[in-house]
Amino acid sequence: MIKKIWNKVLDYQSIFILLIVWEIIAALGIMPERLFPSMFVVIGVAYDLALSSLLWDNLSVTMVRVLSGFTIAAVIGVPVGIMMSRFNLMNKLMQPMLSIGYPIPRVALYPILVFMLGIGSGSKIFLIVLECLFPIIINTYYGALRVNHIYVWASQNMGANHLKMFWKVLLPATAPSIFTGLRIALPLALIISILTEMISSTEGMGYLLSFMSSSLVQENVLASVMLIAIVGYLMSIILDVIQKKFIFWH
Amino acid sequence: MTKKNAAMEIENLRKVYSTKNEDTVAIKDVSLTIPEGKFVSIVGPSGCGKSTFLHIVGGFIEKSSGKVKVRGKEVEKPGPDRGMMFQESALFPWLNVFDNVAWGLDIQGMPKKEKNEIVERYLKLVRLWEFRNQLPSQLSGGMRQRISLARILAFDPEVLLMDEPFGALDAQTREEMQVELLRIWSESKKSVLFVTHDIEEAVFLSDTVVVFSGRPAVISEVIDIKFPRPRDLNLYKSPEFRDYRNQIWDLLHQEHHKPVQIVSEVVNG
Repeated sequence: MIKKIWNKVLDYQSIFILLIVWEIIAALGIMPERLFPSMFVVIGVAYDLALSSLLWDNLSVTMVRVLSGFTIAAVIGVPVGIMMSRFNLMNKLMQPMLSIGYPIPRVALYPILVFMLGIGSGSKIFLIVLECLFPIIINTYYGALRVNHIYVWASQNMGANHLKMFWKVLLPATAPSIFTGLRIALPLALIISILTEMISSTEGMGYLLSFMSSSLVQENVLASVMLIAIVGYLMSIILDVIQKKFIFWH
Repeated sequence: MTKKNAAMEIENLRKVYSTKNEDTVAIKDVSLTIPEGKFVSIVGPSGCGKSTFLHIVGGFIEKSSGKVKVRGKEVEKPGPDRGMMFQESALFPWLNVFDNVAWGLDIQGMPKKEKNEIVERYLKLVRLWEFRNQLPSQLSGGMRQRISLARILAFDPEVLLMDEPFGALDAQTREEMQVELLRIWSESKKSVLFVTHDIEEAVFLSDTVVVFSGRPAVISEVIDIKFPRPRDLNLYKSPEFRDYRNQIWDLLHQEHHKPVQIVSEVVNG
Protein backbone atom coordinates (compact mmCIF):
# COMPACT_ATOMS: atom_id res chain seq x y z
CA MET A 1 0.00 0.00 0.00
CA ILE A 2 2.72 2.43 1.05
CA LYS A 3 4.77 1.31 -1.92
CA LYS A 4 1.79 1.95 -4.19
CA ILE A 5 1.37 5.49 -2.89
CA TRP A 6 5.10 6.08 -3.20
CA ASN A 7 5.01 4.91 -6.84
CA LYS A 8 2.16 7.34 -7.55
CA VAL A 9 4.24 10.13 -5.97
CA LEU A 10 7.14 9.14 -8.22
CA ASP A 11 4.86 9.38 -11.27
CA TYR A 12 4.26 13.03 -10.43
CA GLN A 13 7.66 13.84 -8.99
CA SER A 14 8.17 16.81 -11.30
CA ILE A 15 5.03 18.44 -9.86
CA PHE A 16 6.25 17.86 -6.30
CA ILE A 17 9.67 19.28 -7.15
CA LEU A 18 7.96 22.38 -8.58
CA LEU A 19 5.90 22.76 -5.41
CA ILE A 20 9.00 22.40 -3.23
CA VAL A 21 10.89 25.03 -5.25
CA TRP A 22 7.86 27.31 -4.96
CA GLU A 23 7.78 26.80 -1.19
CA ILE A 24 11.49 27.56 -0.85
CA ILE A 25 11.11 30.82 -2.78
CA ALA A 26 8.06 31.74 -0.72
CA ALA A 27 9.87 30.91 2.53
CA LEU A 28 12.95 32.92 1.55
CA GLY A 29 10.75 35.98 1.27
CA ILE A 30 12.31 37.17 -2.00
CA MET A 31 8.92 38.41 -3.06
CA PRO A 32 6.25 39.95 -0.85
CA GLU A 33 3.93 37.36 0.59
CA ARG A 34 0.93 39.05 -0.96
CA LEU A 35 2.32 38.44 -4.45
CA PHE A 36 3.93 35.06 -3.79
CA PRO A 37 1.91 33.15 -1.20
CA SER A 38 2.92 29.80 0.23
CA MET A 39 1.35 26.77 -1.49
CA PHE A 40 -0.11 25.70 1.86
CA VAL A 41 -2.09 28.92 1.93
CA VAL A 42 -3.19 28.40 -1.67
CA ILE A 43 -4.25 24.82 -1.01
CA GLY A 44 -6.20 26.00 2.02
CA VAL A 45 -8.05 28.59 -0.04
CA ALA A 46 -8.67 26.03 -2.79
CA TYR A 47 -10.13 23.67 -0.20
CA ASP A 48 -12.48 26.34 1.13
CA LEU A 49 -13.41 27.26 -2.42
CA ALA A 50 -14.11 23.64 -3.30
CA LEU A 51 -16.67 23.53 -0.51
CA SER A 52 -18.39 26.73 -1.60
CA SER A 53 -21.30 27.13 -4.00
CA LEU A 54 -19.31 29.95 -5.60
CA LEU A 55 -17.04 27.36 -7.22
CA TRP A 56 -19.70 24.82 -8.18
CA ASP A 57 -22.09 27.38 -9.68
CA ASN A 58 -19.38 28.81 -11.90
CA LEU A 59 -17.76 25.47 -12.66
CA SER A 60 -21.03 23.96 -13.85
CA VAL A 61 -21.62 26.89 -16.21
CA THR A 62 -18.14 26.45 -17.69
CA MET A 63 -18.45 22.67 -17.97
CA VAL A 64 -21.74 22.91 -19.87
CA ARG A 65 -20.03 25.23 -22.38
CA VAL A 66 -16.91 23.06 -22.64
CA LEU A 67 -18.75 19.79 -23.09
CA SER A 68 -21.35 21.10 -25.55
CA GLY A 69 -18.69 22.84 -27.67
CA PHE A 70 -16.42 19.82 -27.56
CA THR A 71 -19.24 17.40 -28.44
CA ILE A 72 -20.49 19.51 -31.35
CA ALA A 73 -16.93 19.77 -32.69
CA ALA A 74 -16.47 15.99 -32.45
CA VAL A 75 -19.80 15.24 -34.12
CA ILE A 76 -18.92 17.57 -37.02
CA GLY A 77 -15.16 17.07 -37.17
CA VAL A 78 -14.95 13.27 -37.24
CA PRO A 79 -17.25 12.73 -40.27
CA VAL A 80 -15.65 15.68 -42.08
CA GLY A 81 -12.14 14.28 -41.50
CA ILE A 82 -13.15 10.81 -42.68
CA MET A 83 -15.02 12.16 -45.72
CA MET A 84 -11.97 14.22 -46.65
CA SER A 85 -9.94 11.03 -46.87
CA ARG A 86 -12.55 9.34 -49.08
CA PHE A 87 -13.89 12.09 -51.34
CA ASN A 88 -11.60 14.28 -53.36
CA LEU A 89 -14.14 17.10 -53.55
CA MET A 90 -14.49 17.25 -49.78
CA ASN A 91 -10.72 17.33 -49.43
CA LYS A 92 -10.42 20.10 -52.00
CA LEU A 93 -13.04 22.18 -50.19
CA MET A 94 -11.61 21.68 -46.71
CA GLN A 95 -7.85 21.87 -47.21
CA PRO A 96 -7.66 25.65 -47.92
CA MET A 97 -9.93 26.40 -44.96
CA LEU A 98 -7.76 24.30 -42.68
CA SER A 99 -4.44 25.70 -43.82
CA ILE A 100 -5.59 29.31 -43.82
CA GLY A 101 -7.80 29.04 -40.75
CA TYR A 102 -5.31 27.20 -38.56
CA PRO A 103 -2.83 30.04 -37.96
CA ILE A 104 -5.57 32.62 -37.36
CA PRO A 105 -5.94 33.46 -33.66
CA ARG A 106 -9.59 32.48 -33.59
CA VAL A 107 -10.09 34.09 -30.20
CA ALA A 108 -9.66 37.42 -32.02
CA LEU A 109 -13.03 36.71 -33.64
CA TYR A 110 -14.70 36.63 -30.25
CA PRO A 111 -15.77 40.30 -30.14
CA ILE A 112 -17.47 39.85 -33.51
CA LEU A 113 -19.14 36.67 -32.31
CA VAL A 114 -20.46 38.51 -29.25
CA PHE A 115 -22.17 40.99 -31.56
CA MET A 116 -23.65 38.19 -33.62
CA LEU A 117 -24.56 35.66 -30.94
CA GLY A 118 -24.73 37.71 -27.77
CA ILE A 119 -22.69 37.75 -24.61
CA GLY A 120 -24.12 34.48 -23.24
CA SER A 121 -23.15 30.88 -23.89
CA GLY A 122 -23.85 30.94 -27.66
CA SER A 123 -20.81 32.93 -28.72
CA LYS A 124 -18.55 31.04 -26.32
CA ILE A 125 -19.69 27.60 -27.45
CA PHE A 126 -19.32 28.69 -31.07
CA LEU A 127 -15.71 29.70 -30.49
CA ILE A 128 -14.99 26.43 -28.65
CA VAL A 129 -16.40 24.48 -31.61
CA LEU A 130 -14.27 26.50 -34.01
CA GLU A 131 -11.15 25.92 -31.95
CA CYS A 132 -11.72 22.18 -31.41
CA LEU A 133 -12.58 21.45 -35.03
CA PHE A 134 -9.00 21.92 -36.19
CA PRO A 135 -7.23 19.23 -34.15
CA ILE A 136 -10.18 16.86 -34.53
CA ILE A 137 -10.49 17.19 -38.32
CA ILE A 138 -6.75 17.13 -38.97
CA ASN A 139 -6.05 14.08 -36.81
CA THR A 140 -9.08 12.20 -38.11
CA TYR A 141 -8.15 12.99 -41.71
CA TYR A 142 -4.56 11.78 -41.45
CA GLY A 143 -5.65 8.75 -39.45
CA ALA A 144 -8.30 7.85 -42.03
CA LEU A 145 -5.73 8.18 -44.82
CA ARG A 146 -3.58 5.57 -43.08
CA VAL A 147 -6.40 3.01 -42.76
CA ASN A 148 -5.26 -0.11 -44.60
CA HIS A 149 -7.14 -0.08 -47.92
CA ILE A 150 -7.60 -3.82 -47.54
CA TYR A 151 -10.29 -3.21 -44.86
CA VAL A 152 -12.12 -0.91 -47.26
CA TRP A 153 -11.84 -3.44 -50.07
CA ALA A 154 -12.99 -6.29 -47.85
CA SER A 155 -16.07 -4.32 -46.77
CA GLN A 156 -16.88 -3.41 -50.38
CA ASN A 157 -16.42 -7.05 -51.27
CA MET A 158 -19.08 -7.94 -48.71
CA GLY A 159 -21.44 -5.37 -50.23
CA ALA A 160 -21.09 -2.46 -47.80
CA ASN A 161 -22.38 0.93 -48.95
CA HIS A 162 -20.78 4.24 -47.96
CA LEU A 163 -22.79 4.59 -44.78
CA LYS A 164 -22.08 1.06 -43.52
CA MET A 165 -18.43 1.44 -44.42
CA PHE A 166 -18.28 4.67 -42.42
CA TRP A 167 -19.87 3.26 -39.27
CA LYS A 168 -18.47 -0.24 -39.32
CA VAL A 169 -15.03 0.11 -40.90
CA LEU A 170 -13.65 3.63 -41.20
CA LEU A 171 -14.83 4.84 -37.79
CA PRO A 172 -13.37 1.95 -35.75
CA ALA A 173 -10.24 1.77 -37.93
CA THR A 174 -9.63 5.49 -37.46
CA ALA A 175 -10.55 5.51 -33.76
CA PRO A 176 -6.95 5.69 -32.44
CA SER A 177 -6.26 8.88 -34.44
CA ILE A 178 -9.67 10.31 -33.59
CA PHE A 179 -8.82 10.00 -29.91
CA THR A 180 -5.51 11.77 -30.51
CA GLY A 181 -7.51 14.68 -31.92
CA LEU A 182 -10.01 14.64 -29.06
CA ARG A 183 -7.17 14.55 -26.55
CA ILE A 184 -5.76 17.77 -28.02
CA ALA A 185 -9.19 19.39 -28.36
CA LEU A 186 -10.53 18.80 -24.85
CA PRO A 187 -8.10 21.07 -22.94
CA LEU A 188 -8.46 23.63 -25.73
CA ALA A 189 -12.20 23.69 -25.08
CA LEU A 190 -11.57 24.39 -21.40
CA ILE A 191 -9.03 27.11 -22.15
CA ILE A 192 -11.24 28.88 -24.70
CA SER A 193 -14.23 28.75 -22.40
CA ILE A 194 -12.31 30.33 -19.53
CA LEU A 195 -10.66 32.87 -21.83
CA THR A 196 -13.96 34.09 -23.25
CA GLU A 197 -15.47 34.18 -19.78
CA MET A 198 -12.59 36.36 -18.65
CA ILE A 199 -13.25 38.74 -21.53
CA SER A 200 -16.95 39.11 -20.95
CA SER A 201 -19.20 37.18 -18.66
CA THR A 202 -21.05 37.26 -15.40
CA GLU A 203 -20.60 33.60 -14.67
CA GLY A 204 -18.19 30.73 -15.27
CA MET A 205 -14.70 29.88 -14.08
CA GLY A 206 -13.20 32.64 -16.26
CA TYR A 207 -15.46 35.17 -14.62
CA LEU A 208 -14.48 33.86 -11.20
CA LEU A 209 -10.80 34.18 -12.13
CA SER A 210 -11.04 37.76 -13.36
CA PHE A 211 -13.23 38.69 -10.40
CA MET A 212 -10.60 37.37 -8.02
CA SER A 213 -7.74 38.95 -9.96
CA SER A 214 -9.36 42.32 -9.70
CA SER A 215 -9.45 41.98 -5.92
CA LEU A 216 -5.69 41.43 -6.06
CA VAL A 217 -5.70 38.52 -3.63
CA GLN A 218 -3.15 36.22 -5.26
CA GLU A 219 -3.94 33.10 -3.27
CA ASN A 220 -7.53 33.22 -4.50
CA VAL A 221 -6.39 33.43 -8.13
CA LEU A 222 -3.83 30.66 -7.67
CA ALA A 223 -6.40 28.49 -5.90
CA SER A 224 -8.83 28.91 -8.79
CA VAL A 225 -6.11 28.03 -11.32
CA MET A 226 -5.24 24.99 -9.23
CA LEU A 227 -8.88 23.85 -9.24
CA ILE A 228 -9.12 24.38 -13.00
CA ALA A 229 -5.99 22.29 -13.47
CA ILE A 230 -7.54 19.50 -11.41
CA VAL A 231 -10.75 19.67 -13.45
CA GLY A 232 -8.78 19.53 -16.72
CA TYR A 233 -6.75 16.60 -15.45
CA LEU A 234 -9.88 14.69 -14.42
CA MET A 235 -11.42 15.28 -17.86
CA SER A 236 -8.36 13.79 -19.56
CA ILE A 237 -8.51 10.77 -17.26
CA ILE A 238 -12.16 10.22 -18.19
CA LEU A 239 -11.21 10.47 -21.87
CA ASP A 240 -8.46 7.90 -21.22
CA VAL A 241 -10.97 5.47 -19.74
CA ILE A 242 -13.33 5.92 -22.69
CA GLN A 243 -10.46 5.42 -25.14
CA LYS A 244 -9.33 2.19 -23.49
CA LYS A 245 -12.89 0.89 -23.63
CA PHE A 246 -13.23 1.66 -27.34
CA ILE A 247 -9.78 0.72 -28.57
CA PHE A 248 -9.22 -2.47 -26.59
CA TRP A 249 -7.91 -4.13 -29.76
CA HIS A 250 -5.14 -1.67 -30.43
CA MET B 1 -21.68 -13.86 -76.30
CA THR B 2 -21.73 -15.57 -72.95
CA LYS B 3 -20.41 -19.10 -73.13
CA LYS B 4 -22.20 -21.88 -71.40
CA ASN B 5 -20.60 -23.10 -68.19
CA ALA B 6 -18.23 -20.16 -67.93
CA ALA B 7 -17.86 -18.84 -64.38
CA MET B 8 -15.64 -15.97 -65.38
CA GLU B 9 -14.89 -14.53 -68.80
CA ILE B 10 -12.20 -11.97 -69.39
CA GLU B 11 -11.92 -10.55 -72.90
CA ASN B 12 -9.07 -8.39 -74.19
CA LEU B 13 -8.45 -6.93 -70.76
CA ARG B 14 -6.03 -4.04 -70.79
CA LYS B 15 -4.75 -1.91 -67.96
CA VAL B 16 -2.72 1.21 -68.63
CA TYR B 17 -1.28 3.42 -65.91
CA SER B 18 -0.96 6.96 -67.21
CA THR B 19 1.40 9.52 -65.77
CA LYS B 20 2.22 12.95 -67.17
CA ASN B 21 5.13 11.73 -69.25
CA GLU B 22 4.27 8.21 -70.28
CA ASP B 23 1.74 5.43 -70.35
CA THR B 24 2.72 2.13 -68.78
CA VAL B 25 0.87 -0.91 -70.01
CA ALA B 26 0.45 -3.26 -67.04
CA ILE B 27 -1.87 -5.79 -68.66
CA LYS B 28 -1.98 -6.18 -72.42
CA ASP B 29 -5.13 -7.60 -73.96
CA VAL B 30 -5.47 -10.72 -71.84
CA SER B 31 -8.35 -13.08 -72.54
CA LEU B 32 -9.18 -15.93 -70.22
CA THR B 33 -12.21 -18.09 -69.52
CA ILE B 34 -12.62 -19.92 -66.23
CA PRO B 35 -15.07 -22.80 -66.53
CA GLU B 36 -17.68 -23.43 -63.86
CA GLY B 37 -16.41 -25.37 -60.85
CA LYS B 38 -12.74 -25.28 -61.85
CA PHE B 39 -9.71 -24.22 -59.91
CA VAL B 40 -7.53 -22.00 -62.08
CA SER B 41 -4.25 -20.47 -60.93
CA ILE B 42 -2.25 -17.64 -62.39
CA VAL B 43 1.51 -17.80 -61.82
CA GLY B 44 4.00 -15.20 -62.90
CA PRO B 45 7.02 -13.28 -61.77
CA SER B 46 6.39 -10.65 -59.11
CA GLY B 47 5.29 -7.34 -60.56
CA CYS B 48 3.97 -8.97 -63.73
CA GLY B 49 0.48 -7.65 -63.13
CA LYS B 50 -1.18 -10.86 -61.98
CA SER B 51 -2.50 -9.26 -58.78
CA THR B 52 -3.72 -6.24 -60.73
CA PHE B 53 -5.52 -8.65 -63.04
CA LEU B 54 -7.28 -10.25 -60.07
CA HIS B 55 -8.12 -6.88 -58.49
CA ILE B 56 -9.78 -5.84 -61.75
CA VAL B 57 -11.87 -9.01 -61.78
CA GLY B 58 -12.75 -8.20 -58.16
CA GLY B 59 -13.85 -4.72 -59.25
CA PHE B 60 -11.39 -2.97 -56.92
CA ILE B 61 -9.35 -1.41 -59.73
CA GLU B 62 -10.77 0.05 -62.92
CA LYS B 63 -9.78 -1.54 -66.20
CA SER B 64 -8.66 0.53 -69.17
CA SER B 65 -10.48 -1.54 -71.78
CA GLY B 66 -11.86 -5.00 -72.35
CA LYS B 67 -14.61 -7.00 -70.71
CA VAL B 68 -14.86 -8.84 -67.40
CA LYS B 69 -17.92 -10.99 -66.83
CA VAL B 70 -18.78 -13.17 -63.87
CA ARG B 71 -21.52 -15.65 -64.69
CA GLY B 72 -22.47 -13.50 -67.65
CA LYS B 73 -22.74 -10.31 -65.58
CA GLU B 74 -20.38 -7.47 -66.38
CA VAL B 75 -18.15 -6.45 -63.44
CA GLU B 76 -18.21 -2.75 -62.59
CA LYS B 77 -17.55 -2.53 -58.88
CA PRO B 78 -16.76 -4.82 -55.94
CA GLY B 79 -19.62 -7.02 -54.82
CA PRO B 80 -20.49 -10.09 -52.80
CA ASP B 81 -20.87 -12.23 -55.93
CA ARG B 82 -17.05 -12.47 -55.94
CA GLY B 83 -15.42 -13.50 -52.66
CA MET B 84 -11.98 -11.96 -52.47
CA MET B 85 -9.20 -13.26 -50.25
CA PHE B 86 -6.10 -11.13 -49.76
CA GLN B 87 -2.48 -11.94 -48.96
CA GLU B 88 -2.63 -10.16 -45.63
CA SER B 89 -5.47 -10.72 -43.26
CA ALA B 90 -8.37 -8.40 -44.02
CA LEU B 91 -10.11 -9.41 -40.81
CA PHE B 92 -11.21 -6.40 -38.77
CA PRO B 93 -8.94 -6.27 -35.70
CA TRP B 94 -11.66 -4.65 -33.55
CA LEU B 95 -14.07 -7.56 -33.97
CA ASN B 96 -13.78 -11.08 -32.63
CA VAL B 97 -13.68 -14.09 -34.95
CA PHE B 98 -17.43 -14.68 -34.82
CA ASP B 99 -18.34 -11.08 -35.61
CA ASN B 100 -15.80 -10.98 -38.42
CA VAL B 101 -17.36 -13.99 -40.11
CA ALA B 102 -20.84 -12.58 -39.47
CA TRP B 103 -19.95 -9.15 -40.90
CA GLY B 104 -21.02 -9.75 -44.48
CA LEU B 105 -24.31 -11.27 -43.28
CA ASP B 106 -24.91 -8.47 -40.77
CA ILE B 107 -24.79 -5.71 -43.34
CA GLN B 108 -27.19 -7.65 -45.54
CA GLY B 109 -29.56 -7.50 -42.58
CA MET B 110 -29.85 -11.27 -42.20
CA PRO B 111 -31.97 -12.42 -39.22
CA LYS B 112 -29.89 -13.36 -36.19
CA LYS B 113 -30.84 -17.03 -36.02
CA GLU B 114 -30.04 -17.74 -39.65
CA LYS B 115 -26.82 -15.72 -39.39
CA ASN B 116 -25.64 -17.61 -36.33
CA GLU B 117 -26.26 -20.94 -38.04
CA ILE B 118 -24.22 -19.94 -41.09
CA VAL B 119 -21.33 -18.55 -39.04
CA GLU B 120 -21.24 -21.73 -36.97
CA ARG B 121 -21.30 -23.92 -40.09
CA TYR B 122 -18.35 -22.18 -41.74
CA LEU B 123 -16.27 -21.75 -38.58
CA LYS B 124 -16.71 -25.48 -38.07
CA LEU B 125 -15.80 -26.11 -41.71
CA VAL B 126 -12.45 -24.38 -41.18
CA ARG B 127 -12.19 -26.10 -37.75
CA LEU B 128 -11.93 -22.90 -35.72
CA TRP B 129 -15.35 -22.76 -34.07
CA GLU B 130 -13.79 -22.92 -30.60
CA PHE B 131 -11.84 -19.74 -31.34
CA ARG B 132 -14.96 -17.70 -32.10
CA ASN B 133 -14.53 -15.32 -29.15
CA GLN B 134 -10.87 -14.51 -29.81
CA LEU B 135 -9.59 -11.40 -31.52
CA PRO B 136 -7.73 -11.89 -34.84
CA SER B 137 -4.53 -10.60 -33.22
CA GLN B 138 -4.61 -13.56 -30.83
CA LEU B 139 -4.41 -16.09 -33.68
CA SER B 140 -1.64 -17.32 -35.97
CA GLY B 141 -1.33 -16.22 -39.60
CA GLY B 142 -2.63 -19.56 -40.85
CA MET B 143 -5.67 -19.44 -38.57
CA ARG B 144 -6.42 -15.90 -39.65
CA GLN B 145 -6.46 -16.94 -43.30
CA ARG B 146 -8.77 -19.87 -42.52
CA ILE B 147 -11.14 -17.41 -40.84
CA SER B 148 -10.86 -15.09 -43.85
CA LEU B 149 -11.93 -18.03 -46.00
CA ALA B 150 -14.84 -18.79 -43.66
CA ARG B 151 -15.92 -15.14 -43.80
CA ILE B 152 -15.95 -15.21 -47.59
CA LEU B 153 -17.76 -18.55 -47.86
CA ALA B 154 -20.34 -17.33 -45.33
CA PHE B 155 -21.77 -14.72 -47.70
CA ASP B 156 -21.92 -17.36 -50.42
CA PRO B 157 -20.21 -15.71 -53.40
CA GLU B 158 -20.56 -17.19 -56.88
CA VAL B 159 -16.81 -17.36 -57.43
CA LEU B 160 -13.68 -17.10 -55.28
CA LEU B 161 -10.77 -14.81 -56.04
CA MET B 162 -7.57 -15.44 -54.10
CA ASP B 163 -4.61 -13.11 -54.17
CA GLU B 164 -1.61 -15.06 -52.85
CA PRO B 165 -3.59 -15.93 -49.72
CA PHE B 166 -0.80 -18.10 -48.29
CA GLY B 167 2.07 -15.89 -49.46
CA ALA B 168 2.80 -14.55 -45.98
CA LEU B 169 2.84 -17.97 -44.30
CA ASP B 170 5.82 -20.23 -43.58
CA ALA B 171 6.39 -23.20 -45.89
CA GLN B 172 4.89 -25.85 -43.63
CA THR B 173 1.80 -23.86 -42.73
CA ARG B 174 1.36 -23.06 -46.40
CA GLU B 175 1.25 -26.76 -47.30
CA GLU B 176 -1.27 -27.43 -44.53
CA MET B 177 -3.37 -24.55 -45.83
CA GLN B 178 -3.27 -25.94 -49.36
CA VAL B 179 -4.65 -29.26 -48.16
CA GLU B 180 -7.29 -27.42 -46.09
CA LEU B 181 -8.25 -25.27 -49.05
CA LEU B 182 -8.71 -28.31 -51.32
CA ARG B 183 -10.82 -30.04 -48.68
CA ILE B 184 -13.04 -26.98 -48.23
CA TRP B 185 -13.16 -26.27 -51.94
CA SER B 186 -14.22 -29.84 -52.73
CA GLU B 187 -17.27 -29.26 -50.51
CA SER B 188 -18.27 -25.94 -52.01
CA LYS B 189 -17.16 -26.55 -55.62
CA LYS B 190 -17.04 -22.85 -56.38
CA SER B 191 -14.92 -21.69 -59.28
CA VAL B 192 -11.61 -20.30 -58.06
CA LEU B 193 -9.20 -17.87 -59.64
CA PHE B 194 -6.04 -18.13 -57.58
CA VAL B 195 -2.97 -15.92 -57.96
CA THR B 196 0.42 -17.07 -56.68
CA HIS B 197 4.11 -16.79 -57.39
CA ASP B 198 4.64 -20.30 -56.00
CA ILE B 199 4.75 -22.75 -58.94
CA GLU B 200 4.32 -25.86 -56.78
CA GLU B 201 1.33 -24.36 -55.00
CA ALA B 202 -0.31 -23.66 -58.36
CA VAL B 203 0.34 -27.19 -59.68
CA PHE B 204 -0.83 -28.83 -56.46
CA LEU B 205 -4.11 -26.92 -56.25
CA SER B 206 -5.22 -26.32 -59.80
CA ASP B 207 -7.06 -27.88 -62.69
CA THR B 208 -5.37 -25.34 -64.91
CA VAL B 209 -2.31 -23.16 -64.47
CA VAL B 210 -2.09 -19.96 -66.48
CA VAL B 211 1.46 -18.66 -66.85
CA PHE B 212 1.75 -14.89 -67.07
CA SER B 213 4.87 -13.23 -68.30
CA GLY B 214 5.38 -9.58 -67.68
CA ARG B 215 5.54 -6.71 -68.10
CA PRO B 216 3.09 -5.96 -69.54
CA ALA B 217 1.23 -9.06 -68.47
CA VAL B 218 0.40 -11.41 -71.30
CA ILE B 219 -0.47 -15.10 -71.10
CA SER B 220 2.53 -17.14 -72.15
CA GLU B 221 1.04 -20.60 -71.60
CA VAL B 222 -2.00 -22.43 -70.30
CA ILE B 223 -1.30 -25.82 -68.76
CA ASP B 224 -3.90 -28.35 -67.68
CA ILE B 225 -2.90 -30.27 -64.57
CA LYS B 226 -4.19 -33.79 -65.00
CA PHE B 227 -3.95 -35.15 -61.47
CA PRO B 228 -7.02 -36.87 -60.06
CA ARG B 229 -8.74 -35.51 -56.96
CA PRO B 230 -8.72 -35.67 -54.00
CA ARG B 231 -5.03 -34.82 -53.87
CA ASP B 232 -2.70 -35.03 -50.89
CA LEU B 233 0.78 -33.77 -50.10
CA ASN B 234 2.42 -36.97 -51.43
CA LEU B 235 1.69 -35.53 -54.85
CA TYR B 236 4.65 -33.24 -54.30
CA LYS B 237 6.98 -36.24 -54.53
CA SER B 238 5.70 -37.67 -57.81
CA PRO B 239 7.76 -37.39 -61.02
CA GLU B 240 4.78 -36.01 -62.97
CA PHE B 241 4.54 -33.20 -60.44
CA ARG B 242 8.24 -32.44 -61.06
CA ASP B 243 7.57 -32.39 -64.81
CA TYR B 244 4.78 -29.83 -64.47
CA ARG B 245 6.86 -27.79 -62.11
CA ASN B 246 9.89 -27.80 -64.43
CA GLN B 247 7.79 -26.94 -67.45
CA ILE B 248 6.38 -23.87 -65.71
CA TRP B 249 9.76 -23.00 -64.22
CA ASP B 250 11.27 -22.96 -67.71
CA LEU B 251 8.46 -20.73 -68.96
CA LEU B 252 8.99 -18.25 -66.14
CA HIS B 253 12.74 -18.15 -66.66
CA GLN B 254 12.58 -17.38 -70.35
CA GLU B 255 11.80 -13.85 -69.27
CA HIS B 256 14.76 -12.28 -71.05
CA HIS B 257 13.53 -13.69 -74.35
CA LYS B 258 10.61 -11.69 -75.55
CA PRO B 259 7.64 -13.94 -74.89
CA VAL B 260 5.35 -14.76 -77.77
CA GLN B 261 2.00 -13.28 -77.02
CA ILE B 262 -0.66 -15.93 -77.03
CA VAL B 263 -4.16 -14.80 -76.40
CA SER B 264 -5.52 -17.94 -74.95
CA GLU B 265 -8.58 -19.43 -73.40
CA VAL B 266 -8.94 -22.13 -70.87
CA VAL B 267 -11.47 -24.58 -72.16
CA ASN B 268 -11.96 -27.73 -70.23
CA GLY B 269 -13.89 -30.82 -71.24
